[in-house]
Amino acid sequence: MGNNKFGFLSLYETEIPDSYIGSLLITDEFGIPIEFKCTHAVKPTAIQKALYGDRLQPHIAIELCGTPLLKSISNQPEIVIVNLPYLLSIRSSIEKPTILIKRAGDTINLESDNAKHKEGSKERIENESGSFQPIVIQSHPDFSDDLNNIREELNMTFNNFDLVEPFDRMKKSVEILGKSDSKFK
Amino acid sequence: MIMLLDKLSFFQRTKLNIAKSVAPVKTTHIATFNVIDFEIPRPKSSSIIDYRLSHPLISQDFTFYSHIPSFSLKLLQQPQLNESNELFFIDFEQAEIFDLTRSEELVNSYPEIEKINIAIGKPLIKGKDYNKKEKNPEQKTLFGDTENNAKTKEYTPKVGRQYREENKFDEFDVFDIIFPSLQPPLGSNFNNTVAFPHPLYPFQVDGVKFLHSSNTVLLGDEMGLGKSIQAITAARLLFREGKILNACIICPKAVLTDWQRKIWEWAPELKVIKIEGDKGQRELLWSTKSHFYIVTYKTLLLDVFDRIKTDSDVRVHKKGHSVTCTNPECGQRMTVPYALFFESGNCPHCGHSGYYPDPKNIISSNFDLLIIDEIQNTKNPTTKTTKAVRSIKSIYKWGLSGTPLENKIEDLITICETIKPDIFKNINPYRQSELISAYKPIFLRRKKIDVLEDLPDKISETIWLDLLPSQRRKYDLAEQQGIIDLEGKGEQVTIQHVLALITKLKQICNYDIETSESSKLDYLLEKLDELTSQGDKALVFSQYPNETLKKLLPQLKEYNPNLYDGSLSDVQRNKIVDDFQTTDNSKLMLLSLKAGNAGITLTKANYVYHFDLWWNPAVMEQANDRAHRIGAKKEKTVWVNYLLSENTIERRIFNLLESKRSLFKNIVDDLTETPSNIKLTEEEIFGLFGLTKKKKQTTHSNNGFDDLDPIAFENFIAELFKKMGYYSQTTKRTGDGGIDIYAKLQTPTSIDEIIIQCKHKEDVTATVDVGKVRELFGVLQSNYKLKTGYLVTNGRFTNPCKEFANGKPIELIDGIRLLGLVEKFM
Repeated sequence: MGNNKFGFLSLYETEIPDSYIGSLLITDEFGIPIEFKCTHAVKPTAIQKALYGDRLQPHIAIELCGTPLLKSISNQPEIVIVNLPYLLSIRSSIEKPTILIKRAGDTINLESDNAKHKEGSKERIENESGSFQPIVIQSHPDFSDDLNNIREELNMTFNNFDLVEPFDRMKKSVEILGKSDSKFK
Repeated sequence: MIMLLDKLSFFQRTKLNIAKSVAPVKTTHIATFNVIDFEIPRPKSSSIIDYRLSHPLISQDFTFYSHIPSFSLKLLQQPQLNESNELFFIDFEQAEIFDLTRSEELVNSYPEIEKINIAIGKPLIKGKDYNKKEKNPEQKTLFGDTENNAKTKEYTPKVGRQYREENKFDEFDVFDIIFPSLQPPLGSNFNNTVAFPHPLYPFQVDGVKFLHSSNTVLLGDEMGLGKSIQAITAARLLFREGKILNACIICPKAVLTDWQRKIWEWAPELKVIKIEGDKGQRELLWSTKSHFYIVTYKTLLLDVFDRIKTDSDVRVHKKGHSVTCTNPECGQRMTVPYALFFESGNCPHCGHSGYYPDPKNIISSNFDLLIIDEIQNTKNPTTKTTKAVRSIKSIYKWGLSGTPLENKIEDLITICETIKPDIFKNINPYRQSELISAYKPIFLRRKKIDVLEDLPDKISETIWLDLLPSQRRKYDLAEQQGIIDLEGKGEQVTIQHVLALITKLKQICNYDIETSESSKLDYLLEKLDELTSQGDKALVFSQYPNETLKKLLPQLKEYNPNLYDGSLSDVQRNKIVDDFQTTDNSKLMLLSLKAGNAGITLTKANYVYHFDLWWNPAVMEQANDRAHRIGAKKEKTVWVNYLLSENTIERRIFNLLESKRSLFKNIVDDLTETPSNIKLTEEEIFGLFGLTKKKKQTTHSNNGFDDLDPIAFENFIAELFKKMGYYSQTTKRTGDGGIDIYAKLQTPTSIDEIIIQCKHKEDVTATVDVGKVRELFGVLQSNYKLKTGYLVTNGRFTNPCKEFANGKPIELIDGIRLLGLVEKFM
């Protein structure tokens, strides 16, 4: 291991209802930020919301934010980590192992988010020192090998830093951006 | 593709373009509408309501395919009168004007609609590659970035990017502002060197938590306990948590650079800007985005208070700020309490509501965090300084002071009001218990004695200071001229010439005799004020008693200092030491490093200040031990401060020695103690000024020694040693005690005194016997200052001679070796 980069991808709803910001944080294997990109706020109109229905957030998260964000960054990650079930679908359009991550005990059920899809491989990872709560990772159902390919990597990295925590950092940073610039609201 | 819309409205002069923003697909064949509204012009009162609508224009690509549908009016049930008693049949404000008829015909007409989509627009992507501007951590030149290089290996916490002098004007945008928030959490383990550059003492951890937990804090720890690093660490926690985005530090000028360096060291991911320069430069700096702004009290007066006064006619008095009502029709003066300054309020004369004064007139008056160092400067509420500080609005306000404020309750009250204006609201000022209970929650003070167990015996710190303006000009001129002079000497330049220039420059760094400017003296005065007020004493060392210490003396007279140098008799020395050790009369002693570094006990001193660095740190350690009694039961901690000037020869020498120490440490063993006597080579000393030592061609013939007489040979050897960098002098021809030449060599770490005995031989195959070596050794033993004895001949040495010299401080130079030295140095 060494010099590996991790991409944390998520979609955040701003303080304004139905306003979304996609963000991507690239870190090294110690969680130190290398690159951060985010989108201006996406604000679907009422008619768009009605027309897209349940597909609105996945459409914004993947087509409008996730894929362009991953294309735009200079430091390409070896692994993409997402915290929203529907973001796993981005795996179909990128050539990088992608996993959904949640704290063990938190709800993680793809079926509830999209009952029509089969569930991917799921696995629990413990932090050896006990510094962080265990996590559960899950791959895209069509890319079950992802877990096998990155298991060792994630196990080692989880000893360095909490793999769920970067999403909190991004959320906090997006909130600060919103206070500084209305385009991020 | 079918597009289903519920309602479509047309208004006068409105073009409806639904092609780009509404439809999810590029081609739509059918559009259906349940309702279409049209606006009609207001009819004249007498006109008959009979409209024929023109064909509505939707877009170039989207028009009604069929003929205009007909519409029927929906009239109100009852005619109404307007304000002019005119009769209206239609209420334009409320009524649904038209009903769509013949909708079936419209739908069945299958209108052609092209290029319609309702895709949500793709958002712009913003952000930053934080690795992009990272400097190459490798040392590029001998002096480039050596300090940072060393620190990267030893101290620097892992943050991804650091701010330093060289990148302070780099582009800095909102994504740099959020950089700390993107860092991993610091956690609560303050000994974690990945997150923190150095471990904090337990009491400092308590201090950090106290600061972090409160918006208003007065940290009153005694001097030396690390108030500034506690404040920086607490601020760093807030930055990481995203609770603050900027902070302003107000401090005395003497410690401006020190604050900057401490932030670089303790919060490397945070950018810091010193507010300095002329008005234009300062405005530029204020408007530059940064995490930290450091400003002196004096500059604050210029940039905030005077601005307020000029723009808003503000007066400050004990009850608050007196301002003029912003209502031009009123213009009366009114008093705004400190707490309401920059808040909205109502004028008591006219009731006008407004901000006092107008915030737009103030330069950067609002911060998330305000750190007021030496906050006792605001103890008088009527001074301009206090007014300026109190005018700054901030979410967090932390005051720092080592002065024992609890001894002067009236000072403590006004200082507390600086950070929390309403703290004593409804408190009886004559009831001390009420006052104490009011300020206690925000006040934390620890004395050295309270935390002695946490502290080591000795705490050393290097303080980097900027030269004052005149000092800087003088220094730059002296250095430039010195280098020109050295270069002008060509091959004649020796290490002594370079050392002389270094000495001159170091003396300017200490004190500019012409202007009496000294940033080191300013710093010392700032600290003396604090340390003497808490009952402590200090020692000041310099290797230049005449050029530095005697110049400082008159400016330190309020502390009743004594000068301890080599000119004193034993009686005078004892008196000075007794005075310092046994009375409260003298709080400060200035000592020549050579005279005062050994043999005296000055354990009443808690603080030691070195105005300059001696080449050999061991000598300075000896000096420090005057105050720090080794092996005794621990009764105190000694703070040793090395005052050095930034961007001067002092920095270059420091960096070079540090990099060599670091190299030693990394190569040999991390656990091995770094030797204190690491030396600089001649090449390195020349390199301090970008010079290279020039080597000469041999000028003496290899076989010429036998032609010389003994006296000429001695002179020749003396000249040779001069070329080798020594001060050499031949002795008298008679009664020389067996010594022909005395010589001294000033090395980076010491002065080596040597003696040379010359034995000239007419026949180069002749030998020097052991008796001459014994004689030389006898002289060496009689004088402990002599480091080495040289026996030089153009002939050879006998074996007993060599055996005797072996293991003794004697160097034998025979004819062959002598030729080699001549070739190298002459």
